[in-house]
Amino acid sequence: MRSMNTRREFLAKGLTILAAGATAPMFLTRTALALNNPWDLRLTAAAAGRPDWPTLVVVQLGGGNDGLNTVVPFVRDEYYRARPKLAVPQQKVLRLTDEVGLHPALTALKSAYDDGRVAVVQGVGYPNPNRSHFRSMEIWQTADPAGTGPKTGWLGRLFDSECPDCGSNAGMTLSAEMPLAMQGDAAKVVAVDDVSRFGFHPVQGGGAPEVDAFKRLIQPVPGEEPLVDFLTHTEMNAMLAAADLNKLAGRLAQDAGSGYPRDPFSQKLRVVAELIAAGSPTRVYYVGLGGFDTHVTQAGRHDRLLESMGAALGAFLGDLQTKGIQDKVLLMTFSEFGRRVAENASGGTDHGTAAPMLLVGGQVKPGIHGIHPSLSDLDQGDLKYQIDFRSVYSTVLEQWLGVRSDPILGGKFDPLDVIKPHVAASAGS
Amino acid sequence: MPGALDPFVPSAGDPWDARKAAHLLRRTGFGPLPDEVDRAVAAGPERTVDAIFAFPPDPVPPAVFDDVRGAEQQLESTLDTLRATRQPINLQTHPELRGLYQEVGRRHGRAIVGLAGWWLERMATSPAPLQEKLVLFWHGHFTSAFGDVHDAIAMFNQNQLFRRNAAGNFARLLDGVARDSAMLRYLNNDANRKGHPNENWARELMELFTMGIGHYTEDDVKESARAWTGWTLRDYRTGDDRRAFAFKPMIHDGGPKVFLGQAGAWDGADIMRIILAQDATPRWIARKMAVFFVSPTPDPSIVDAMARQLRASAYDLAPMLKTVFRSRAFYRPDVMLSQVKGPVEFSVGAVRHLGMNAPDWVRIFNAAGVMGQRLFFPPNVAGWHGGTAWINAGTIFARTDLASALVSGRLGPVSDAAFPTLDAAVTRLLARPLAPHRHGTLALATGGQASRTALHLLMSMPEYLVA
Repeated sequence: MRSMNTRREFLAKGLTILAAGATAPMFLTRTALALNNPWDLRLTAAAAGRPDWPTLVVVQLGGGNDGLNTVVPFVRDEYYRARPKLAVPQQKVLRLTDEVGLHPALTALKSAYDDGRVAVVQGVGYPNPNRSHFRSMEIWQTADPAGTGPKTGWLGRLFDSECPDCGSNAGMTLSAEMPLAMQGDAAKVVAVDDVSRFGFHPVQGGGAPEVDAFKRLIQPVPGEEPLVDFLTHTEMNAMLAAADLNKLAGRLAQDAGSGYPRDPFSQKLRVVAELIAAGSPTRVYYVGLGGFDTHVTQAGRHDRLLESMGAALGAFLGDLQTKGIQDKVLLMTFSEFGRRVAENASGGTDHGTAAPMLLVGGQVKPGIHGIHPSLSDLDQGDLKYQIDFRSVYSTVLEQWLGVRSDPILGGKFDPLDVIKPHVAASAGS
Repeated sequence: MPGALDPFVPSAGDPWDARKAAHLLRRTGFGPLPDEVDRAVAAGPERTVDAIFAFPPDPVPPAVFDDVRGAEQQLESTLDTLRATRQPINLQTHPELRGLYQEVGRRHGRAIVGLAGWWLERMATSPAPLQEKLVLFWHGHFTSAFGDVHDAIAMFNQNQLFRRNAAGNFARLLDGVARDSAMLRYLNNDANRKGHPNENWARELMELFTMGIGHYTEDDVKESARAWTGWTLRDYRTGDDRRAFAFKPMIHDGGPKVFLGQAGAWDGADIMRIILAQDATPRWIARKMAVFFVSPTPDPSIVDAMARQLRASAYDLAPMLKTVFRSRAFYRPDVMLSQVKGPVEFSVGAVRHLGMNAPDWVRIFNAAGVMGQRLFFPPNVAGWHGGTAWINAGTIFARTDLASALVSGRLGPVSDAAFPTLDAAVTRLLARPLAPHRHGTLALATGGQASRTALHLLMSMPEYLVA
């Protein structure tokens, strides 16, 4: 929010935006020359708008997804004993291996698994698990279980430390609210709820002069009150992001039988696929699906949630393939915790701990990674984690995005072997 | 030794002026108008603070609920007839019920939108805007979401509970919330039974509603969940039963529990009593109110003083709030304009500033939703984050879009008489002058006229987004 780069970039781009109005003050031209944005250069180099760098899509399953009923340990008696009502019957499980299989609502994900585009990481969690939604979500988003580090997101720190000159939409969240995970010190992320409406629209009769006036009114001025200064920078950043998005808007195809379901989550993934295909400079997308807090009557609700998720991921993968960009995209799911092994008396499950994560895309090493946590050796009725979530993050950072993970994660976490090696080697920038 | 909440005493060097009066009215209401600011300046801080705590009697429920009750009664009389046959009743045996259930759901869905419009109208027009500001505060504190409750009348009852106790006694409000049908459903305590505890309410009660994390253990959650068993809905047979509290001894776990170090055969009332006796509770409430009304980063000494007063007054809220609004600390330069207007505050304030009567509140409700605050649909049990979390590239444009729709008259007629000149518009909207360079830019772009463009630009500027 106080980044000189952002301001510099605004002035530079503001110059081109303002050119039509021919009102750009002279001092802007010098600042424009100072612009040095490697990501922009790469974008320019990738002639037809095809990005040549890997893109990450993070899918947040809010509320605490029931990992045990997502990736089902269908050979374990303890599972069936703990869940007389909610256990997925053995014959209905979509088998992945001799030991685990997917919930029957995940048929689209099963097809993707069979095509070799899904990696399941088992038993992901962290030490001393917290069963509060908010604290645990904060832990996953800050990657800081001790809570001693800065209150910034792990992806926000990615932009701060690895891309000092990157643009105002290096990260994009497809919702009105910006998740903590994406927040860093500099304004390099945007929250876009509706891509088609994104921008400053003058009133009727206001036209371009009104837009120009707005840009001048939000030029930061030294010595302003801190909050007004923050808002000025945010508005400026928003105008920059809108300018970028509007350039791509023409290429954002209409949803003409694209095969996505109509629900908002699917439609957001459709927009993500379109933006990636159109060559958007955005490197990390963040999409949420909520409602997983199934304390009561879990059966129907969780089935529908998983079906939505699976169908959306299936459509997304199919779309990426059609667009020829399946190898450029890695999608990762996470939830703040899994749920307790034993069902409760309300036909639901209470807050738990470790759960599987999904890594999906053309360049994952498909299959089951890690071993399923014990269903008998429990911690207060909950699973003991096998893999620290920060190891999954370090995998994504190092082997997919090609950056050093320890400055971002505040320590060294051994990456997992879930990304195909030639990608891991070439992802470095 | 000076106290953190010593009163503000006007002096020649530091007078009670329009800036301070507007600050008080902004924080305790929704977009004050020039004549209201003038009256507050004339009355002085003491009398103005007394006046804003004069709350009117209970409002009449909005008419939108007649529709809901009609559909519920039709469903219930159909069910009564079927029950008389003593045959099993479900959607397989009686598919015609599906339509009746769906109609009830549809009408609740329409009613909640109507209710939101009714509440927004009340925020804009109530003679006691602080009462509605506090209802909004409590809605974000004791959250319940229509998406889980599915009952617009239950949501209205909760809204009235907040209104009746807005600046009343926190202990009484908490007791009402523990028996509130929307809350019982939202946090599933209606499913919390002896031998089969459901921890949802027990946990959030401590984590979010009273003490905050770190003041209790996982065992306290489990033990208090047992104490809360049997605090439930009267029945599920009719809409009115589902909206009534009952304590059911049959499903209550009367066994001994250890909660926050105290052993006893506790039930829910004991749990509340023990929680209210903790130091953490007044501190938690004081801090949350300080963040909402004073500053996003309130001085710890202010929070301490508020907590002390709350405890001393046995949780009466009005004395604490009055002390705050009269304090010197409330008018410090780093406190004034330190808040980001929330979407509802922004929208209602804009309607008032434009002198609009009876605008299209449903569209405004939806617009505030796009800005991140959909009334009756808080994002999760922690409510809305507030502060700078309201602001990002997407929500900024949602605000500029609503401002455009409003000033263009698309959501109802705008009172043009309110804006003879650009300077008058600045005074009306900001209650303070703009910095000279901004004023110059704005005047240049608009020819000094209070045109639609000028109003839209003003409402889009950072200066209008702060309170």
